[in-house]
Order: sequence, then structure tokens, then C-alpha cells
Amino acid sequence: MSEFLRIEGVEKSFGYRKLLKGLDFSLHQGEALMLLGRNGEGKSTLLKIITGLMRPEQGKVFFKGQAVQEDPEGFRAAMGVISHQIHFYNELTATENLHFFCALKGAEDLKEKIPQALLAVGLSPFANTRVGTFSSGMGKRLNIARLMVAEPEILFLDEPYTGLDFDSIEFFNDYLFSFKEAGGTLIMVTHQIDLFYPLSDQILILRQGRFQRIDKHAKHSYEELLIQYQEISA
Amino acid sequence: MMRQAARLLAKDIKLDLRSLENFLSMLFFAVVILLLFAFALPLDDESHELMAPGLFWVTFLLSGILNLNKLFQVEKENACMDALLLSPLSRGSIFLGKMAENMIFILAMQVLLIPLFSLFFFEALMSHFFPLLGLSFVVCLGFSSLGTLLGGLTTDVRFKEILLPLLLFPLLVPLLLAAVILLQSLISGAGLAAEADWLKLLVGFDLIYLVVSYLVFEFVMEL
Amino acid sequence: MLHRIFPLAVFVFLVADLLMIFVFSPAEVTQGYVQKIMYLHVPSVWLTFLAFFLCFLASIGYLWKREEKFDVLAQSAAEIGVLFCAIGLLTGSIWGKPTWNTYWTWDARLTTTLILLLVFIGYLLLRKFVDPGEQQARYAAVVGIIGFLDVPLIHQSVVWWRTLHQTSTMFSMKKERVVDPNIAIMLWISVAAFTLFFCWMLVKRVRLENARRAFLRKMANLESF
Repeated sequence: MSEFLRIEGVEKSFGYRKLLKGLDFSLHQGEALMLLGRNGEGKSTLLKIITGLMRPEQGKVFFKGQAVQEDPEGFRAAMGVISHQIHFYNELTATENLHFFCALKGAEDLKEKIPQALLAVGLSPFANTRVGTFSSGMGKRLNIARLMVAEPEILFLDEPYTGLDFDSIEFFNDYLFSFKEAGGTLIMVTHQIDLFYPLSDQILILRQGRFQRIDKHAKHSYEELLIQYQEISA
Repeated sequence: MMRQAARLLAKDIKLDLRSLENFLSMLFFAVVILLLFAFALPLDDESHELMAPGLFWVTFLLSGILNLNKLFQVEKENACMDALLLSPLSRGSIFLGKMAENMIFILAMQVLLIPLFSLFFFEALMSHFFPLLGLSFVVCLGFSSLGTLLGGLTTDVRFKEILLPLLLFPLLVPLLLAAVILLQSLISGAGLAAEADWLKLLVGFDLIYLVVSYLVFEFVMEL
Repeated sequence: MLHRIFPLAVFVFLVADLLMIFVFSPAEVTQGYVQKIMYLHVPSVWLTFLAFFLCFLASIGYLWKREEKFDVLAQSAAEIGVLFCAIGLLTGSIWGKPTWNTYWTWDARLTTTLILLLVFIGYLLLRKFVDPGEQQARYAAVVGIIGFLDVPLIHQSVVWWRTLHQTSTMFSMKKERVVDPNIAIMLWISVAAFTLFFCWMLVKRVRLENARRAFLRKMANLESF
């Protein structure tokens, strides 16, 4: 397995406060990383830096061995992002939204792929309904449909479970599982440790600007992990 | 790059058509301004003729700024701006798409504003409809270049409703002066060519700010 | 050593300048003593442009290199520029009362100065409305650049729009207008004295801003309170 994503010495201030103080990790293709930490530790900021929305003061992000600044558009074409917000226009229908974003991503055969994806997530009856009327569960399904059409190689997830009911979470996790099975790489920021724990290969806790690593493969049970997490973040 | 910008433009126009109230509110805002002018100023035709060029462009600026406020506001719902920025399109395409949307929106308003202005304020303006629309295009190019840049810059800033006009209007002084004098010359029957120097200044303003805004827009789009 | 001698030298120079203005330099033939305000007005306007030009260069430097020192320089220069711009406008209008019989006239250069003042007040307000940090520096740099680029356009358009001012005494290209050599020398001395004063102010302001930011940084990074 070759190295897929790597960050090196990432530093960032928020105002005058140094939030991230030199962070490194690397991830192989097909791995899943869970990023934990209390509110305000800078998890989302780190995700924004990796995806290129923010520029770090120090440090670099490498994708497939190449610094992303050299080809930011190529990197963005390969990524998918899901957060607690749905990233769709309320006044456009499900199909129009998918069409717009997937065309921007450079996906092809949209005429066939979009109905297929909508069928797969169970939103076919709402293909021509405006997204503004969707519930948060439906919004999440539509997000998944977008990923199915655009077919990213790496997924960034920022608290995606917020506001979802049990069925939607199950559906969402099923998708993440199949995404990983197919060789996809994932980075998840979340507070719901239990939901993503089964999928994750690496667990990093952001604490006062640095990483604390929990080695999942040291035969930890979930309960032991939880105790360790609470100790570190206390 | 142009194709990505065109996709963004097509999406924005579709959104504009869906929520036509944006357009209507801007148009009626312009009418309200006209109404205020009509009440606040002397009513005789002579002074109206004198003031028409200035008032026309002031109306244009005051109502045009509404659309600049809206330009990036539509991307804020559901954090669509993040999705755009995370799509593989360059910041330059976002600038061009947004700028084109603003131009179309404002020129569409001008098409209706010119007859309304001549109806309420200065009748003879209607006879210059097409040259004035052409002039509007040139004025709008400069307005949209600077406006799109500053509109994007102020999206997340506190008191942006005050800050945007405060930053934009002083910078637009050359544009306003040129537009007023060219319209004067149009109304007096001399035509645009009579004030070639002003036309050059106006086009120079357009080109400088089109290029500069395009270049620095990427710095505005970082979070 | 230098940091003690320099302010002293600036002070001596300014006092000498003042003495020369009021004691040695001749009163102008037509305007009399009123004309002496010129020795404050012209340097102020010159420093306004110098300061905004520095702000422009520092803004480009910031966007290019992303180093905070450029941001500090841009901010300091803009603040001092606004100060001298206001002084220039004020002295201009005081001078205008006896010469044009009005405090304010829409003369080309006064108007340009007024617009510049508004642009850079907008620049400083933008800094107030954006939280301190990298974003503030970036936004301010953008406005600093587009604001300064507008200067020639504003000036040209306002000149065409209306001209009433006496043609620029020192910087004009036309040779026809002859200034009394004593007045010209005096003006150069004043400009030099004020420019030195400006340099000293700028150094002070930059140091102060650096200290302020260092303090805020220290406060913000104190561990959990």
C-alpha cells in the first residue's frame, strides 16, 4: 500500500491564538481515520486546511506524494465532503442540484447516473422536488447520491451524524462501509465515537494543538478506548 | 475555465428566475428612490432635464448594490459556498460567473428602469434607449468588477450593509463622473463620441478593475 | 544610540523649520502671511500620498509573501496617511477661506484628497470589522491595493470635472509659473522636515503595533483559564 494522504508540520492560528501546533499524520489508501477532540480544539479547522479551504501558516499537505498546492483542482476533483450542512441549494430540485455539482466535479453520463443514484438512496420519488423541503435525513441521502455520481477517492466527513435519526445513520454507515470496501479513504471528525469506531483504522485525538494517538490495533476493546479517550481529553 | 464559469452562471440565473422576488424588490427599490427624488426636488421640466443624468446613475448605484449584497448571500444557505470552493473550479471561474450574473441582473433592471425613469422623471430619456443601454453595459462592467470583488470580501464581515457602500462608492467616483457626463452628452444630442476622453477613462476603469479584481479574487475566497 | 539621536534630530529639524517659516522666510506678495500655511499643507498632502503608496506596496508584499511584518507596515502607513490626509484637508480649507473666500470648494485636488480620505477610512473600518488575524490582513491588503490603484483615475476624472486650484506649485511639470526662490527653498525644507518626522512616526507606530500584537498573542495563548 502506498502513501495516500500526508500532512506535515501543519500550524494555524485563530486570531492570535495558536490553535494547531505542528501536526503530522499519514494515511494509506483504503484506511479510515477518526479525528476526535473537544469543541474548539480545531478539528474542523484542520479539516478545512487539509481540503484547501484554509491556508496553514506552516506545513504542507501531500496527496499521492504531491503537494496539493501544485494541483489544487486535481485534488478537489478527487475528494468528496460531507458535513452537518447539506451543501445544496434550497430552490433547486434534487436532480438539478446533483447535475450542477457533479458537472462541476467533471463527472460524465449524468443523464443515466443521477436517476440511478437517486434510486439507490431511495429518493427517486423526490427527484423533481426542491431540496428546501427535504428533511435532514433526506438531505444526507442526497449527499450520498452526489458521492455515488461523482465517485471520489477520498472522503472528508465533518460531524456528519448531527441531526440524523437512527435509520438514516444506519443507511449512512452502510454507505461508508461499502465506500471503504471499494478502496476509498476516509477522514472523519466526530463526537459520536461509537458510530465510526468499527470502521476506523487510526484514531487521533486533538488536544491543545497536538495529536494524541490511540493505537486501535493494540487489542483495545471499545470500552477501553473510551476510558483512554476520556483520560486524554480531560 | 469558461465552461465552469458558465455552469455557475446558468445555476445562478435559474435561481434568480425561481426567486423573482429578488429582482422585483430591486426594481421597486429603484422606483422608490425615483419617487423620493421627484418629491424632494423642484418639479419643473427644466430642472429635471438638468438633474436627470446624475439622478439616473445614482438610482443605478443605490439599487445595484442590493444585488451585490445578494450575490454571495445565496451561496451561504446550507454552506453551498464550501461546496463550490471544494469543487475543482478555479477561483477565477467563480469570479467570472458571479460577475456575469450581476451584469445580466442589473442590465435586465436597466431595461425596465429606463422607461420608468422617463415616465416619472424625464420623458426625453426614452428616445435614447439603445445608446443608453450600451452605455449601461460599459458602466456596469466596471461596477460589477469592483462590486463582485468587494461583495465577496464583505460576505462574512460585520456591518457589511454599511461597509460595502462605504468601500465601493468612493472607488466608483471616476465611473460615476464619466457616466453622468456621457449621459449629459447623450441627452444634449451630441452623442457619446463627443466625450471621447470620458469614454476612454470609463473603458480604462473597466479594464483595470476587471483584471485586478480577477487577480486578487482568490485572496478573498480563502476562509 | 540611533534610536535616541534620531528623534532628537527630527525634533531639532522641525523646530528649525518652524523658526525659519515664521522668522526668516519672506511673506508672499499677494497673500501675505496666509501663504505660510502652505508649509504645513503641501508636506501633509505629499505625506498622504507617500503613506498610501507605502501601504500599497506593503499590501502587495503581504499577499505575495504572507508575512505579518508587511501587514503591520501597511496598517501603520495607512493610519498615519489618514492623519496627514485629514491635516491636508483641514489646512487646505483654512487656506481656502482667505484666498478663494470659501472654506470648501470642489476643486480638483481638494476633492481627490477627500475621496482618498474616504477610501482609506473605509480601509481602517474594514480592519475594525474583521477579527484580527490572517483574514483581516488579507482583506485589508486587497482594499489597500485597489484603493491606491484608483488614485490616478480619481485624480484624472476630478481634474476634468472641475479645476480651480492654483496649479501645483512644486510638482507641476509646467515651467511658466515662477515661484519666489526663497519660498521654493523653504517649501523643500518643510517637506524634508516633515518627511523625517513621518519616518520617525512610522517606526514608532510599527514598533507599537508589533508590541501590541505580541501582547495579544501572549494573552491568547495562556493555557486554559
